[in-house]
Amino acid sequence: MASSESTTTSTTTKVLRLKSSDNEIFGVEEKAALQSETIKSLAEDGYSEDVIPLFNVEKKTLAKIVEWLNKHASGSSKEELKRWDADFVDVDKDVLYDLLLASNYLNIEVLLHQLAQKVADMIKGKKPEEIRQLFGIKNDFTPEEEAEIRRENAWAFE
Amino acid sequence: MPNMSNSTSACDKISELPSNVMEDILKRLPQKEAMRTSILSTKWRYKWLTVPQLVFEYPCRYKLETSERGKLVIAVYQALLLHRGPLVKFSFSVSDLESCSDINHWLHFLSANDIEDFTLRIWTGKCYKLPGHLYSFQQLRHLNLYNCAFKPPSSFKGFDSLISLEFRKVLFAAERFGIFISNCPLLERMTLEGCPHFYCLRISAPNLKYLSFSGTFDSINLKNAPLLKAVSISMNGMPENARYFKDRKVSNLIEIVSSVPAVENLSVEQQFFKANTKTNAVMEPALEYMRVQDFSDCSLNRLREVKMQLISGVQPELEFMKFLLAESTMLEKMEILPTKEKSINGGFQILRELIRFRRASAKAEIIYLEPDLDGFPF
Repeated sequence: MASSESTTTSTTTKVLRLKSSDNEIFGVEEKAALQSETIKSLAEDGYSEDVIPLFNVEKKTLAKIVEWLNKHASGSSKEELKRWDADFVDVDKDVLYDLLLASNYLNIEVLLHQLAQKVADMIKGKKPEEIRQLFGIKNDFTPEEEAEIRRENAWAFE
Repeated sequence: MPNMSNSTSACDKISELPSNVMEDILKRLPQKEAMRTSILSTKWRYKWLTVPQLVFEYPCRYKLETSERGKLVIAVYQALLLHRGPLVKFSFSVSDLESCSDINHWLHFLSANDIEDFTLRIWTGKCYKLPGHLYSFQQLRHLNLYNCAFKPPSSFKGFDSLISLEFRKVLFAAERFGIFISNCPLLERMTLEGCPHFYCLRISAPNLKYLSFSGTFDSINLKNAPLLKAVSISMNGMPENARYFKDRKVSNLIEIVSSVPAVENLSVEQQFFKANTKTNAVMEPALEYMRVQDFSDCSLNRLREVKMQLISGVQPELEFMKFLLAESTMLEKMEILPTKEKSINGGFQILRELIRFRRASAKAEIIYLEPDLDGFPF
């Protein structure tokens, strides 16, 4: 994953070097890397010859992100990408949060939407108590407050 | 008890997601479910109120009970009242409505926001006359209406930012509508379905790329739509309009198709030719039209794909396909989808005729599609 031997083959494709917050360096082809608006603007700011530091992304998350960037720059067919993406977002909740935060920080809109859709799909069709349990949300309302919210939003809770 | 260590779910990270990420998640939920998140915890109580959209949609066959409708109307008022931050999308779709005054109020309220995406569909019942407030939505990019009367005041200057427009069963005056369209310079996609019959619609739209039309008309002029690439035309539905089917139809269609400068993709659907099946007399004007026209400079030289849907192999259809094959020098694909009954015993006949027609494009491929015999609605 953490390839620093990216200079071997092609001479025409430029490779950007991304550094995770825990100092792991990932070589990514420019075309793939620039799907991130954040990397794009950092590269434009002159980091492109050097290492681009990504202070907010740990290596285990960055490895996943790089995997996504490469896949989405590989020219795979739409159907193939759809299947691949479905597998990609099928991860446990902690990984999902890390990916959400990283794709938000790196400003990779397509990935962010995919991850948001995944979370929405997890919420859909569940009762409040089930959602709380799934995400570890602590209900801090008193029964009176809860009743009040239900009354206020009668249409939604009927 | 180590109550926080048993699983990943013990740690509530989702509640701490940045607000833009949270909005992205919540806007992917149906409105009711988004609103129901208010009860999860105090942190969630007002999260749904900053999502920049309100979408109240019932499917078209769903009959609202009176009490349900009352709750819905209150919910819309409340949502509008309590909403925080920018509101860019508003969508409301229900079967018949008792009173228009509520929607009028909502539109009035919305006109103070920068609405970019507006949908209003009154599935059944009386046609809803849109109030003047709508015409002040200056940021509008997407407009989707069903069963409404669109009658802008004469002072209305169009929507500068409008990109897509979908009108179904919308009342408008063709001439006024044409002027309105010409005042929407960014318009790229337009769908008109089941709107009342009109005689001549002039579309002048410099950026229009996609047009889907279903309904009846005498003529549509698309000469001033230089970027129009995909055209889909059908005369579906509305049997009461059958009297409008005129013998000039084939020539009308050819006139439309050959008037579009850049059309690459053409789809013609069921029934365009149906009313012509009874008599062959109607063929003559069309054939005559083809004979007298000089198509040497007609613009079919960009046409790449044609889809003929639900055809039954009647003469006008065959003539039209013959014309397209003969004139479209760049044609790559012509797809034929016969009607269900034809596919059983008549499909071969259609193909036998088609195979004889000359093709201006050496690359043209004819693809015969089998209708889904079980699920197909026709």
